[in-house]
Amino acid sequence: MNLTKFKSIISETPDDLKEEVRLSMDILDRIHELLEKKFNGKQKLLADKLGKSEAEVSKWLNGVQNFTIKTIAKLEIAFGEQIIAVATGADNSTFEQCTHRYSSKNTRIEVGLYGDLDQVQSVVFESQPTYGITNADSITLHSNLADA
Amino acid sequence: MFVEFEKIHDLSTTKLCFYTIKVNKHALTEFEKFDAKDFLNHPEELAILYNIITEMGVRGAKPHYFKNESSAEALPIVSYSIMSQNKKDFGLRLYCKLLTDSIVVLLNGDIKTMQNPRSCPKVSSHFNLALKVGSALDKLIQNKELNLTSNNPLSECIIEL
Repeated sequence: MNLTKFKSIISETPDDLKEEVRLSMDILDRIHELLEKKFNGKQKLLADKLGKSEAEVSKWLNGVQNFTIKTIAKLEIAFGEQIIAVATGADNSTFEQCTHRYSSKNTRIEVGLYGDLDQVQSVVFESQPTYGITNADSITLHSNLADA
Repeated sequence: MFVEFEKIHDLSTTKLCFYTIKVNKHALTEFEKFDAKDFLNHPEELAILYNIITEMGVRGAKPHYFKNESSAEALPIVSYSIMSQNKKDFGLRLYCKLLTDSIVVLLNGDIKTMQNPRSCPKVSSHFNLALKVGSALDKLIQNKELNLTSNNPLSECIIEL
């Protein structure tokens, strides 16, 4: 399949735009996680809590948006939980460090000849696109390992 | 009209399998036709669209990344600040079908020039095809003729529209 333009656009996309897309999707995922947790996934309940129309709230909940601090603050108050955290070294910050994005933890357990636990090894790896050319074999190997 | 499905190996990941379709054994798939187009006035939207697709490969396909279009979906949904860069149209549309969080069919699209996609000379044919493919797939799933949990579920799938 010839997707020359796709590959060149991805490689030429400025890093700040890539980061904008990634952050927007992170925020969107977090908002939907909280919508499910706090309002059983019902946009109407969130709209009522915010005193806004469902149509207006729906715009915030779908697609890559340019969220303002004001909107995020309103949503955080409505959910009663944080949507974003700021990376800072300050002692009084609420920042929680996340080192692995979308990571999976697989544990390989080998049982010895007499049923004894021979070896336990945990592997944490970040999900990555393969683009059909990277070492997909090693990823297959990991997914075949028994989950902890 | 015969529709065959083809896996997009270049974009598929361990989390998400992207497919596209070939209509009546055309040399190019629908997504290749989309990729070959020039959207000279919408470079940022196209970059956002392609980066969303790439990022979905990392985190899986979630319904809130898509705009629902009856039996199909569309990408991207971008903020009004980006949309307003082109006041003459309604922005870029790539029609697709979200089957599960790990299976997405990418179709074709163009610049939407009218509010109603059925009236838009540029996207109406792509929109209509997406709806037809979408409902045909929905019917197959409903009739349990398509097992989405199997390995490479659409590889052997041919539908007549």
